Amino acid sequence: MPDVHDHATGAPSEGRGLFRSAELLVVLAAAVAAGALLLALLAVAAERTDLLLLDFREWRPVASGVGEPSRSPLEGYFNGLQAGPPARRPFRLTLQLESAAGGLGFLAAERELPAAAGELYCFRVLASTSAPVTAGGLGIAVYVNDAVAWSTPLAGPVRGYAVAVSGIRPRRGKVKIRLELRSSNWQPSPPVPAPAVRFEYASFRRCEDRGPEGQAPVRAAAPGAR
Amino acid sequence: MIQGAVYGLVFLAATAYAVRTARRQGPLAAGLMVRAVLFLVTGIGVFLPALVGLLNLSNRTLARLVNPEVAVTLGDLLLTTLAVAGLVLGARHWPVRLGEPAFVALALVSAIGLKLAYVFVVHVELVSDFASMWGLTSLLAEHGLGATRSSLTFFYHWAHFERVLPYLLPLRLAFGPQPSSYTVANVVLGAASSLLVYRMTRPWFGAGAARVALVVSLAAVETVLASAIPTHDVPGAFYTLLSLTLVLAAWRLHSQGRYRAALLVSAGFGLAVLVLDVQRTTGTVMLLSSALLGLAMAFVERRAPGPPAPGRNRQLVATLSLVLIPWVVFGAADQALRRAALRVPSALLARAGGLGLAAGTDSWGDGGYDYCFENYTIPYNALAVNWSSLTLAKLATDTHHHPGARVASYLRKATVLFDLGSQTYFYLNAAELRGLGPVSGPRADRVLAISRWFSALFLGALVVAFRRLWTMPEVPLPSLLPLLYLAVLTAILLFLAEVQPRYLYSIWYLGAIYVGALLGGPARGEAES
Repeated sequence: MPDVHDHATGAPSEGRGLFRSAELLVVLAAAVAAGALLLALLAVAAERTDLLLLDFREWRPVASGVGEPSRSPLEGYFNGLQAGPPARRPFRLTLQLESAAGGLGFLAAERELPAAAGELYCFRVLASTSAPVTAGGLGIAVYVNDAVAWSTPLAGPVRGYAVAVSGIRPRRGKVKIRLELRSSNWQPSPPVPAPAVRFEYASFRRCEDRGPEGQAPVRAAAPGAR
Repeated sequence: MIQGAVYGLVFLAATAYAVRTARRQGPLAAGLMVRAVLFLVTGIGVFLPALVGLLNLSNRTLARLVNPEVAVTLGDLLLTTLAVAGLVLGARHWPVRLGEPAFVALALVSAIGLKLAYVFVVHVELVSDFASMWGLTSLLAEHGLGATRSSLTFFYHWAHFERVLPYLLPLRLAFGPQPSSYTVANVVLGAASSLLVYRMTRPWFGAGAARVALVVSLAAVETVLASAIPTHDVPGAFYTLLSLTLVLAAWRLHSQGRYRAALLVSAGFGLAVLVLDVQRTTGTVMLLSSALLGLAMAFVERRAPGPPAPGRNRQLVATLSLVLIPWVVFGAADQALRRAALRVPSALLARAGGLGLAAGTDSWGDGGYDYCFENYTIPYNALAVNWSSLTLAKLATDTHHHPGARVASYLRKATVLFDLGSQTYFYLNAAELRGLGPVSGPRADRVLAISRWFSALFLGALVVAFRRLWTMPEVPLPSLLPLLYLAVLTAILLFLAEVQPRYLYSIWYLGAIYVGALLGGPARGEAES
């Protein structure tokens, strides 16, 4: 055992080395084990509960506009927008139109998510832009099962939106989500790159929230101010 | 790809080194558990990121040597090396007959004199946080707390408000609006921090080590440059050392059986930690580190601290004073400050809680401050969502999907956090040496390269010091507290938060303790007093 009197006063002691103290090791090992356990619990919770965020790696690009780009260059452009190789960008999706003059008319990413028939689902995502988006300029929209569920409110300039869509009913065991970016009469001169829009913190899960009665299943949070 | 391979090699080398070290005689020979725990706590917290930072620094500095575009010369680096070596050797071999107090006085007076000369000669245009904090300080001084507080609407407004209260505002009120009201205080507080380092190091590692620790912390290039800025780094380091001093004093009082005094000092420690938290947001890290060590001392040791005291439950008192009292005092005082609207209001804190974590927890982000600020802080700040739950979701999902990516992120972020010396630009931004023209272009490159080279030497010594610490036959238990604090802080930053090197400003003092232990240990045949 270390001589605690000497340790406390700092004077050299004749005891054994600090790290031979089995008790100290027990405490430190317990702290490390507790940390590891916490991480393991988090991982299990992520897998089994609603905490799991949507993985954007499986999402595919869709585009239209001048030139109707073929699939392969589109995927190249789409992949180039992302933060890194697909394996390293699971939870964030970036979309950006090419410069408005002669670029893509719209760019979207979509995916069909498996869902249980008869259940209601909610979809949430944060959208933030690299520069303020003014009204009538760049449009951001969320489509659910090919219907517009949310679109950029006519207010600006803003740089962030918290989007929440509830009361989603699956169609043939699936729900198709599409995140879209569209330029509308946006022709700056000289041409400048359009703002990039980042979608993240996306979640898709069962929930009992039915959304507004008799309306399209849309409910969007108020946009944030800059 | 190449960078990944280099980091992989570094990791393998560090592991192999740890295993090799473990086979030696000394404390590490005590068993597998010892090696595992030691490697995890100090290795992940300090040793490995310091090693990665060192490689990164050396790489940049050496690149400058072969790049003719950069003004730094081999002579600059040689001169820096010689100056550092001269200081260390002078401190280590200080003649005993001249006396220890004489050395301390000489070192402090010289350092204070040089730094005062520096801060009175340079003119610094304030940028970024420094400008904001000094501007807010002036507002508070002129219009009062109440009038100004009503305009604080964002979380970061409040963060600046908190930071100026324990340092800049009192200085501004006492000495007026001129820069000397904080530059002189910075110089004095830096010297006081070094003095605390000396006082801590001496009983643990000997007089030579304490002298080296003193001069290293006084001479660190960034501690000189930071003196000219209205910063929270300088007082933050001082409050860190003050907190450590208080908790160590509580331990000492325990060992002497002075339980009542120990309880009082522990309460003082809780308050000092609160000031540290207000100033630099690292109070809870300090509490966590001291609790880890305090638990070991008070709860598990079969021989509880202190001499036998009939009728008194020493372990209970030890647990109370070393672990619980500081938390209770800290928590109560913290709540009182929030109710008095002197800290971020609880509601705003809850709303913004996790925002910082959300910004910095990416496995794939580089953790750089500019990146986080541009990409997250501005657009995120206005979104009214529950950041705590989102952060938890992101952390959990990230961990679940990419444990490997998180390790890679840890190494990548270590190069940012341990890019010590890089803050020179920050501190020197728009600085103008009177009569010498602005410090920009080649001259700034030169100062930066010298500062980085000093940092590389410092980190190199720190890395080797850990090896020495691990193989020392006897390490005083309290001497691990600064290391634990540094390890917990670094690990939290690397795994969870944004990684500005400025968060590690206190390393110039805490690291100096171990650098001193390495370089100032008793020479062969020399009898240390």
